[in-house]
Amino acid sequence: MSDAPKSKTVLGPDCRISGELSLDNDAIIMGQFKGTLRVSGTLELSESAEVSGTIIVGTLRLAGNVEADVVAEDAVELLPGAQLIGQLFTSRLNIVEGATFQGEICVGPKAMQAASEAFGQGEHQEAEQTMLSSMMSQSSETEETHHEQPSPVRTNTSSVNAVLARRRPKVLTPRNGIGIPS
Amino acid sequence: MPLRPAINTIHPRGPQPAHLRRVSCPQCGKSFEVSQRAVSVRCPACTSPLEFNDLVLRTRLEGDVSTMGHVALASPSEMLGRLVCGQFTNAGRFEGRAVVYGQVVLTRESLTTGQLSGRSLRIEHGATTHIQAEIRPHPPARTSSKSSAPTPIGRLIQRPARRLIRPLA
Ligand SMILES: [Zn+2]
Repeated sequence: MSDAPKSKTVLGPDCRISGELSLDNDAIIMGQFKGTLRVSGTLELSESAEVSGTIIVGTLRLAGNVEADVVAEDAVELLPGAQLIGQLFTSRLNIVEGATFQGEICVGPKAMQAASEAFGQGEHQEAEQTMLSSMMSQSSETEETHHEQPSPVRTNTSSVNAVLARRRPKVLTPRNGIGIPS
Repeated sequence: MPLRPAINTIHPRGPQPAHLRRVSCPQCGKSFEVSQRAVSVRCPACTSPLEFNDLVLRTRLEGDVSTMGHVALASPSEMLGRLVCGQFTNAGRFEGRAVVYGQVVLTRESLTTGQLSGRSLRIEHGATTHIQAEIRPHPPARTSSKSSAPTPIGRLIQRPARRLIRPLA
């Protein structure tokens, strides 16, 4: 990986964008966005930001208003005054006092897989079942690894990579040993 | 120059409570702080009596718990049922419905499923969580409906728990 400092995209409070936007760096959005937003690094949505649709990021720091489904591979933080309504898939979450959240939260080792199935295939019910069944088997057989357990529900690991691949452009080196189809 | 006695160092300000507990009244929503050592107080706004029973669960409990205190599920404890409390920390397994009038912390070993409402929420890396959640600064003030509010406040109630989530085949 290169050690070059990451650039940061800033969309000011006057911007209004609808459609699909992919950014290969960190970003700050202060205006309005409607559609699908992919940011490979950290996305900060300021107090004035209003976003609806789908957000796929590494880390989300939210102070504004969002009505969207969010997939954040690393973490999500809701700051005071933030409002988020929707489904949330991540591995670490902090909603501080003063922030508002309403919706479904999926956190855990299988969260990205559940997200992949929810968004990639439109089979949300099945994704929930996958998540739940994996959690149940995890708790009852904690000593075994996840990979060795036969899952009663069909899963599609390649779609996880699809989500991650869409989030990260092909030029990025895969992190954490997660393979991205080139 | 004569030295003046340092009164402030001899008699510091009155005893300060070492730790404060943040309380949100389930009746009127008023937020205030009391000493961590307080066993019961009256809400300064609506004078509702609030009692604090902090408890740590180390085994398996199937039933309902209601207190304005801090409920902690130790690892590897398990609770199935409805929980109403002032603060909630889960390091074990919780399945059911939790109404928390303060902070919720789900630690890295925890497994949480069901429904949750609270004022703030922290889910640590490694935790497994699948919940319907509502986090907001002001919890809904208690109305005549007794469905989710602690009744009576501060008492531990144990009733047979309803399984809120169907077990998977
Ligand atoms: Zn009150």
